[in-house]
Amino acid sequence: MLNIKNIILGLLATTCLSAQVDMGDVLIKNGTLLTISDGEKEKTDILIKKGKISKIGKSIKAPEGIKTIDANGMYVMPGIIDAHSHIAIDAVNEATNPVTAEVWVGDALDPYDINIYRALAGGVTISHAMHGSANAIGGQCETIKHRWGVLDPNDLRMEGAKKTIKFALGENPIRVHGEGGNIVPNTRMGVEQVFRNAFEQGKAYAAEWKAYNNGTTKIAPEYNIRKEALADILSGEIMIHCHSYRADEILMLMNVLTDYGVDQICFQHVNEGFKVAPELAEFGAYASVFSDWWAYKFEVYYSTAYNATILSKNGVTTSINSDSRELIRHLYHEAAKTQKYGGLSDTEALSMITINPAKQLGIDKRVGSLEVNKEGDVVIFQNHPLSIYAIPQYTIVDGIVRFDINEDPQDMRIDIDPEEKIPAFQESEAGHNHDNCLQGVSELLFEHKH
Amino acid sequence: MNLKCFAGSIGVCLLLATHTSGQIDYNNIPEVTDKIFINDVHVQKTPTLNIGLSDILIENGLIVQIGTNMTPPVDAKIIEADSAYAYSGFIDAFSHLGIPKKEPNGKRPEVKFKGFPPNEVAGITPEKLASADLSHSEGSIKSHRDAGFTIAHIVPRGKMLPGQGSIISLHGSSADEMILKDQTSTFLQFSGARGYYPSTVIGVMAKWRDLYRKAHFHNKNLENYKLSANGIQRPHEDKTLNALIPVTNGSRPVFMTTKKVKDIFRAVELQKELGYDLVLCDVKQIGAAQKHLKSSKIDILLSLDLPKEEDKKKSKKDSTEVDALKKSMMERKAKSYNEYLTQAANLEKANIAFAFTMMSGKSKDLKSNIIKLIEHGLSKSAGLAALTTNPAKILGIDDIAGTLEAGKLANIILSDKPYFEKESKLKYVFVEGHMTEIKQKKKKEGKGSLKGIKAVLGIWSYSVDVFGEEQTGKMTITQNGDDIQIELTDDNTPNDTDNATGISYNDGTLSFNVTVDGGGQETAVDITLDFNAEDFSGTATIEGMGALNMEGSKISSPE
Amino acid sequence: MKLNSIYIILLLAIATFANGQQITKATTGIFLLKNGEVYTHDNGKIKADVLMQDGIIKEVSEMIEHPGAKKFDCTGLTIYPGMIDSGTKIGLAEVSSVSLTQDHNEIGEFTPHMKALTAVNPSSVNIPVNRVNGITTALSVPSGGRFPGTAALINLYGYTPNDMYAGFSAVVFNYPSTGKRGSWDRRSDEDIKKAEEKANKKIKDFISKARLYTKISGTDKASSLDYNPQLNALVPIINKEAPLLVEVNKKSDILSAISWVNENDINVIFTGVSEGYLVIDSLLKYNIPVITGPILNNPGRSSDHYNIGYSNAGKMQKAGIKVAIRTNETENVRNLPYNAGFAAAYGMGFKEAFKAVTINAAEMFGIENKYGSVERTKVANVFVTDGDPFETKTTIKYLFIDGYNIPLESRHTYLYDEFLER
Repeated sequence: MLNIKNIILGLLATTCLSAQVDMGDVLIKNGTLLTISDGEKEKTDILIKKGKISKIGKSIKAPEGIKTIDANGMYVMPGIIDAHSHIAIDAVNEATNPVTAEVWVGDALDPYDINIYRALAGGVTISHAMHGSANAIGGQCETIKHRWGVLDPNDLRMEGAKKTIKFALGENPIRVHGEGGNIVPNTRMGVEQVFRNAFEQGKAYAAEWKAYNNGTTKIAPEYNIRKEALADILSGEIMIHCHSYRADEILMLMNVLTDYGVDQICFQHVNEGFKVAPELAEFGAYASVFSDWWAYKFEVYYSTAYNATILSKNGVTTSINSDSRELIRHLYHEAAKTQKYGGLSDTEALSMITINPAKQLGIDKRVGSLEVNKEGDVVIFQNHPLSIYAIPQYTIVDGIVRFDINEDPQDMRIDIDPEEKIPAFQESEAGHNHDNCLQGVSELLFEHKH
Repeated sequence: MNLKCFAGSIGVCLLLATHTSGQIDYNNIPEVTDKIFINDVHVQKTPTLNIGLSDILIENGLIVQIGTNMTPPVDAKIIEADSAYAYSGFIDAFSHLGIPKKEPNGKRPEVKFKGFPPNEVAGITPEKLASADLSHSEGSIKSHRDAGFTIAHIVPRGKMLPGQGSIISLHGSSADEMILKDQTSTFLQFSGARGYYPSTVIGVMAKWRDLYRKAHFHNKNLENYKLSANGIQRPHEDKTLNALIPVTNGSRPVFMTTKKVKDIFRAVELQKELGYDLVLCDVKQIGAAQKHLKSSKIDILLSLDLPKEEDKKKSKKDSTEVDALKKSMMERKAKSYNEYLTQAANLEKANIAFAFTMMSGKSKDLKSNIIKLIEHGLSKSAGLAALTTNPAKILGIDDIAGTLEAGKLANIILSDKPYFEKESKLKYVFVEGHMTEIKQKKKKEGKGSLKGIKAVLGIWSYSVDVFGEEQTGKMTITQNGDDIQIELTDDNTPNDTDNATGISYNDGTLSFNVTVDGGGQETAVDITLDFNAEDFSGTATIEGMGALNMEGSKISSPE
Repeated sequence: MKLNSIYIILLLAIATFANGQQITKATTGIFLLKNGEVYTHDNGKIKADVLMQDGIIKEVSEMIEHPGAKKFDCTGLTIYPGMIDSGTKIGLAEVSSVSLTQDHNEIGEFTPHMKALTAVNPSSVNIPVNRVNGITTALSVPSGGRFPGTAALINLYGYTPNDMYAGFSAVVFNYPSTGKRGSWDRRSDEDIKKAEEKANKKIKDFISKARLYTKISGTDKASSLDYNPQLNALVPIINKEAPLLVEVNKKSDILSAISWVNENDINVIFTGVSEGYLVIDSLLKYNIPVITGPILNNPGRSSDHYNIGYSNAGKMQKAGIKVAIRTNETENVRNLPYNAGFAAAYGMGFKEAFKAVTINAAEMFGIENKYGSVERTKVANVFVTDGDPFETKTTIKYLFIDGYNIPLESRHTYLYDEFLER
C-alpha cells in the first residue's frame, strides 16, 4: 500500500525470493482419478514433474529413475485443503485488544507440530492457519503447505497465496472484551462499531500517507502497523475471513463492507449462513462451514447440518473446514456428510474440500483439482474418499511423498527434547463448549474473572 | 536471619572498599601498590598462541609488559605463579549479573485497556539502562568471577524490551566504577506481557516491527526538523522511540534471547526484514537454523546450560509405560542429546565465530560443560576463543580485552594446570589488576562415618558471610518420626525464629529453604550445607543477591 | 448482567421452541415391514418380513401377512437393529457452553446416587436430531468427580424419562488418571503422582465403608443404618449384582484399575480405554468388557501412531475382548455409525463394528434378550436403510423406537425444508 514499505523492506523481497522449497517427481499409474474439474477418469496415469502436474492420460511412460506408484484399484484426488485450522502455529490469539490487525500467525509457524503429519495422513496438503476469534479484528493468517519434514518454518509457507486476516463476530469477541474486559464490544451492536471505527482509521491513515508521499505534507505521518493492515484490508490486498454464526451479524458485516467498498470476504463457520444464503450469494461472499457441529454454544443452537447444502444450492462457494486438529485428520469424511445431509453429488462433496477452499484462499489457479500445470498435491485412497471405508495411502505435496502408509513408523515427531520423558498421555475432553478459535484465551478470561 | 542486616552490610561493605575516600578506616588494610609482577607463568596470549613460560607486569589495571626473564620492579607486588597457566580473563557476553531480580508483588496492574497498557506494564522500556539497576555487591558477580569471568555484558531484566545493556568489569566498589561501556545494546525478547498487549509471541513480533518503523520515521522527522523548522509541525519527543533510533541507524545491535531453533528462525526473519545488527543470545538449540548464522550482521552466543544426559538407572523406573516405544525413543533421545552437544563443534567447522554465555546454567559448571563440548568435537582453542576473543569482538571491546597483550586490561586468570584439563583449578583471577585468590572447597572429611540423618541432629552454631560482615546464629535440627525440623535463630534477634521448609537430606548434604524478612519483604533463601561430624560448610542463596558462604560447628547432639 | 440476559433469552427460546415445534407425531400400532432383508449378526442379510406390535418385534420370518398392520414397503432395503451408543450425555445437556442447561455434573466427588435418568429431558432438541441417524438407544452418563452418579440407558423417544428408560443403569467411577487433563495441564509428574495417591486413599475409604454398609444392610440390623445414599448406591456393586462403569484410558492406569478390580472383587465394564491395545493380555485375562470411543479421536500422546484412535477398538476385539463403541457426545451422538465405520475400516470390519454398536452393548448391559438384534420378542427398535448404515451416502427410510414409527424429522430437517429455497 505505502511507499515506505519499499524503502524499509527492500531486503524483504529478496529474502522471500531466495526461499527455495524442494519439488519432486512422481508417476501415479492406473488410478481412478477424481479430477474435480473434469469428472472421473478410470485407469489413468498422472505424472508430476518438478512439483507440478505435467501430464494426465493413459499409459504414460515413466521417465527414467522416476518414482512410480501403482494406484490400480485406488482413487486419486487433489490434495485436500482445509480453509480453517490452527495447527502448526505457536500462538493463536493475541486476545488483548478488540483490534489486532497487525499480528500475524505466520510469524509463529511450527514445522515440528505433529498435527501436520496427522493431517497429511488424512490427505490434507494445505491448511489455512488462522488467528483465533477472540478479537473483532484478529490477526493475519497464513496458508501453509504440509511439507512435513522441512525444518525451516519458512518452508511451510505457500508463497503467493492471498493474504488473509481473521475477523470475528458474536459471542467470542463479546465474551473476551465485553464480559471479560469491560470494554466495547459487549454486544453485536458494538462489534459493528469496532469495524467501522477501525476502517475509518485505516482510511484516514492511507490518506495521510498519500498526502505525504505526493509532497502535500512535509512531516511523515506517525507510522502505525495496525493502521497499515487496516488500510490494506480496504484496498483489497488482505482478504477477510470472518468467524461468524448468526444470520443478522453476517448481514451486518456485508453492509459494513459495502459501505467501505470491500467486495471480497469468506465467512467462517457461518452456521446460520443458510438463513441468508441469497444475500451471501448476491454479495459474492464465500462460506466455510463445519459439516455438523452445532449446539456447543447458544449462537449455534439454531443450526442445521444441511447448511453446506443449502448454501451451495443457493450459489455460495462453500467449503467444509476442520477448525480442529482432530477433524483435520478426516475432512474427506466431513465432506461425505454433505451426502447424508442434502445428497450432494460426489464432485460437489469433494469440491468442498478441494477447489472451493482453494478459491477461498486465492490459490484455485494452482491447486484444488487434478489439471496439467497445477501443483503436484495429490492424495491416493484405498476405497472412494467419500466412503466410510476410505483409507489414505499416499499424500503427495509438490510431487514429494510426504505420507506413505507403508512407511509409517509409530513415532513421527521431528524435534526431540534431549531431556524428555516418554510423551505424556493426554486425556481427551468429552465434548466441547467452544470452537477452537478461542485457543489460548482461557487464561485471559480466567484472570478477568478475578 | 534478618535481611535488614544483609542490606545494612551492603552499605558497610561499600564504605570499606572505598579506600580512596580519604576516611580513616582501620577495619581494612589498604593495598601497598598497584603494580603486580606475575613471575613464571605459561602465557596463553591468544586462543591459538601459547608463548611458554613468561612474566607479566601489571600497572594501573593494565598489562604493561609480557616477556621472559623480566626483572620485577622494586615497587611491585610479586606473585610467584609456580609455572601456572595464564589466560585472558573470560567474558560473558550476555547475563543479568549484578541485576537483582524484581520480586513480583503478586498483583496484576490495574489497566483500563489491556490492549493499550502503559509501557512499563507492556514490558516496553528500551530507554532503561542495565547500568542503572546494577548493584556492585550482588552475589552472582563473585561466583562468576570465581569461575574465571572478568567482564560481562549485562542486560536489564524484564519482558519484551527491558532496556539497554552495559559492559561491566567484574570488580569495583560501585556500579559506576564497574562500567566499561554503557548503552551498548538493545535487549529484545519474545516475552509477552501475559494478558496485556503484546501478550503472545505474535503480538511481540508485530509490536517490534511497529516500534522499529516508528523510530525510523521519528528520527527522519527529527532530522528534517533540525534542518529547517520554519513552517513545519514540530515532531514530539518520545523517549521510547528515541531509545530505538541507534538501532535503526545501525549504531547499536539488538541482543535477543533465542533459546530454541524456532526462536532463531523468528529472530532472523525480523532481522532480515528490518536490517539491524543482531546477536542471538542464550542459544541452546541451533538445529536447522545454522544456515542463517553466516550472516555478517548476526552473531551467536551459545548457552553453556547443556541438556542433562539420560540417567540410565533412573529411566528403568518408567517401565510401566509404553515399552514397545521405549527403546527407539531412548535412541532418538540420545541422538538428540548428541546433536545438542555437537552444535559448538559444527559451528567451528563451518567457520562461524560464536561466544559462550552463562545466562542460564551455573557458573560452577562452566569448565565441565565446555569439556563435554570438547569431547563432542570442539577444539580447545575454539572453546577458549568463545570465552575470550570472540565475545570481545562481538561486544566491540577487542581493543582492550580478550587476549594477553600489553596495553589491554589486566584481566588474567591463573590455573594450576592447563585450563581444559579436568583436574585443573583456578588459583587467581585478576580483574583490571585487582587480584582475587580462589579458595578451593575443602575436601570433605569423615563423610563416610555419617550414617543417615541422625548424624546432623542437634544444635549447631552458624555464621554467614554477608558481604564481608559476619552474621551468626544457632541452627537446631530435630527429628520427629519421618519429619525433620530445622529452626534458625539469628543472634541479633534471638526471639525471632525461622522455620525451614523443603528439607531434604542425602548422604551428608542437607538442603532447605527459609523465608526471611528482607526489610518488610519476604525473601526466600535456599540453603545447602555439607556436613562433617563436627562442622559444616555450604551456601545460602538469596534470589537476586547470589550465594553467601555459610559455615558452622556442632554445639550439642540430642540426648 | 450479561450472563443473566443470555440465560433468560435461552430459557425463553427453549420454551418457545418446545411449544412451537412442528413435529409430526410418532405413532404406534401394528407395523409390518414387507419385502426387505433383515440384517443378522451371524448370517448377514436374510430375506424376511418383520411384524411389530405393542412395542415388541412379534415375528421375523418370510412372507408375513397381517390384515390389521400398517405396511412399510422395504423392497431393496435392509432392516437393522437400532444402534446403541454406550456413552453419551444426551438428554443431560442442551447447549454445552451455557452451564444452566447442563445437568450431568453435580457438586461433590462421591455422588453415585445422582441418577442421570432424573435429569434426562425428553424434549431436548438433541434427541430427534440424533435418533434420525438410526441411534435408538443411548447410555446417558453423568460426569465430574470420582463417582459422578448413575448412568441410565434410554430409548431416544418418549414423553417422560420413565417412558424412555431401557432397563439398565450403572454407577460410574472415574478411575484416578495419571495422564494430563489437557494441553494446558502443567502439573509435574510428582504432582500427578501425589494427586493419584490422595485419590486412591479416598476411594479405598469409600469402598471399605460401602462394603461394611452392604454387609450390615444384609442383616437384621439393616434398620439401624443411618440414611446414607452415597453408600447405598454402591450396594448392588458390592453384591456383584450390577457392573461398575470404570472410566480409564492410560495404559498404566488401566493396569492399576485391573488390580483394583481384582482386589475389590466386583463386576466392571471399562470405558474409554484409549490405550487398551497396549494391555490386551491383562484385559483378556480378567475378561473385562470394554466400551471404547470416541473412535474419531486424537492419539493421547504426541509420539503415538496417527491411527491408534481408529484401530484400538479393532485390536481389542480381534484379541477376543468384548468391545462396544461410544461417541462420548451430546449433540453429535448421530456420529455413532461413523465412529463404528472408522473402527470397521481400520481393522474391525463391518460385522464386528456393527455388533459393537448393538448386541455387544446389550450383552454388557444384560439386556440382550430385549435389545441388540432384530429378533422375535425383542423391543421394536429398528431402522431401515437403502445401504450400509455406516456409509454417509446411505439414507434411513424408516425408524422405529419402542414400537413407535418415528418421523425422520428434527430441527435440522425443519431448517433445511424452510431455508433451502427461502
